[in-house]
Amino acid sequence: MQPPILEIIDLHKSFGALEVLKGVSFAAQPGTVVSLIGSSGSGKSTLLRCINLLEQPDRGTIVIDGEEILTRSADGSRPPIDQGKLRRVRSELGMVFQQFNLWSHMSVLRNVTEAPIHVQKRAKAEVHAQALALLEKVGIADKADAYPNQLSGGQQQRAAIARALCINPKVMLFDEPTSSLDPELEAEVLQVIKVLADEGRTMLLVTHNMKFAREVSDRIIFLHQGVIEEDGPVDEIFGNPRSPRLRQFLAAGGAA
Amino acid sequence: MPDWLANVVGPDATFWLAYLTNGAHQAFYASFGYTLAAAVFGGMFAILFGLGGAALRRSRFLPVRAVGAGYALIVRGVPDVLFLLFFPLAFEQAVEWVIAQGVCTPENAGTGAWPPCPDANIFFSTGGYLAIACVALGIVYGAFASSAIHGALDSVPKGQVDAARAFGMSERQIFWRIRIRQMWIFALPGLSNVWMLLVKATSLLSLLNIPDIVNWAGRLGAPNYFPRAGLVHPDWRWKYYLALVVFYLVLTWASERFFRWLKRKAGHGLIADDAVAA
Repeated sequence: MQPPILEIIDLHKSFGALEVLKGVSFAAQPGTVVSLIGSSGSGKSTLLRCINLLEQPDRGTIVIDGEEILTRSADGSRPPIDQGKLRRVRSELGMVFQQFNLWSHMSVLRNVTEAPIHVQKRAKAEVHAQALALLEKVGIADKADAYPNQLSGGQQQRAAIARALCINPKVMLFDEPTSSLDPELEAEVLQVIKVLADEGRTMLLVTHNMKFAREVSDRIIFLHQGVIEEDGPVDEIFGNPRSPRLRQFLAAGGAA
Repeated sequence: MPDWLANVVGPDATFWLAYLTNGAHQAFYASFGYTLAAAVFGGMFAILFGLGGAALRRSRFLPVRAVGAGYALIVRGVPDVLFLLFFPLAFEQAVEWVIAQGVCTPENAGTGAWPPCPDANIFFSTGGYLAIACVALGIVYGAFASSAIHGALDSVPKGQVDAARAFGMSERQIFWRIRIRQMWIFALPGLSNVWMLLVKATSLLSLLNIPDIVNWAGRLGAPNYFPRAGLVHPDWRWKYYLALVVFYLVLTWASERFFRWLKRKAGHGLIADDAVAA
């Protein structure tokens, strides 16, 4: 078995008195799609935001492709995070947000080329060519010069996926990518994510869409009240859920 | 004026045309340059001080934040007329004090009046006073601008800042590449107000003995007697001041057009295109 490309060990995170993550550990193999499911408030999104340190975990270790980016021992002491290293590691994780979060003062094309050129310092011509190819791939090549507010939600999210792909990430992180879209627009975004899954990209997907999670994932992690309640292959999770909470969740969630 | 034109317009018009283009009037027309220069350069300083003040107020260090907040609070509370009188004098005497430290000795000391010795006495030219006035205007209106900019910097949606962080931008890059770029559209209404106030404050240049348009209008409008022509006109100051009123109205009208254009230019992607056109 290959070494994991992403490994999370004993991650804790509290917001004030509210403990959101209570010691989460898992590892993702390269080329696999892992979906995080669970009810609202179970800590799925927080977990994703902790992985690229948009939230500071209180305790735990994150290892990306063999490189530890955060270690904090149980006594709370922590080695200082090297800002340069943090930025480099972040630029290896392609994040797609629920609210798209495209930079509204830039054209779609510049949204896609911004980080590769100004963070990764890659050559402009090469980045441009790649960006145009990616926009073609997600089906909005004709919108390259449009501004985000001129696009539909589905188009904006596809642009955001192209933006994340353009940094050549080792892992793609999707934070409820279709939760703010109409069913119609949701389909076009899911189509794009499906293509990426079939290409063998490593992806971590937080989603409420059970049907889709079942379709694209290799593995499902069920999070409940800040701990991993169940973790296994798709067929096992959906076909033979062991924990009563997962059974209850799947029944209520209307999973197909 | 060529004779044929003089014959067409008649002797009265010829006289007034010559009168309105005489040396004093040409100096009057040229003095509009002082006003425009004070507005433009004062505006630039106001933007600089505004950005600086806003940056101070965002600092991680409390004393620095306090300086930024204090600047906005104190300067905004001082009447611009008072500050325009205070600042150039204070600046001039400060410069003289610095010079006096080097050149004044007990031997060449003066009578106890300011400056300490004659060698330390300095004079600013009109251009020098104009430059000082621009800085003074910049300080006063920069305090207003800093409030507009400070508020606008926080108007950038949090999600976009998150995205910038997630893609590895440094805080400095986020400030310059995201916040500042989006700030303008939110700050523009406030900044255009500051600009209008600043434009009007340029009428205070005469306080600094700069021969500006207000100064000239007062002099040229006074009853005017030429030995050769007799009384040219009685007290016409209201006419000259009226011309200035029209000038300022045109200037603010043009400014408003300019800001509308700027809003359209800066607003790409930030405000709906049809909202700009309206």
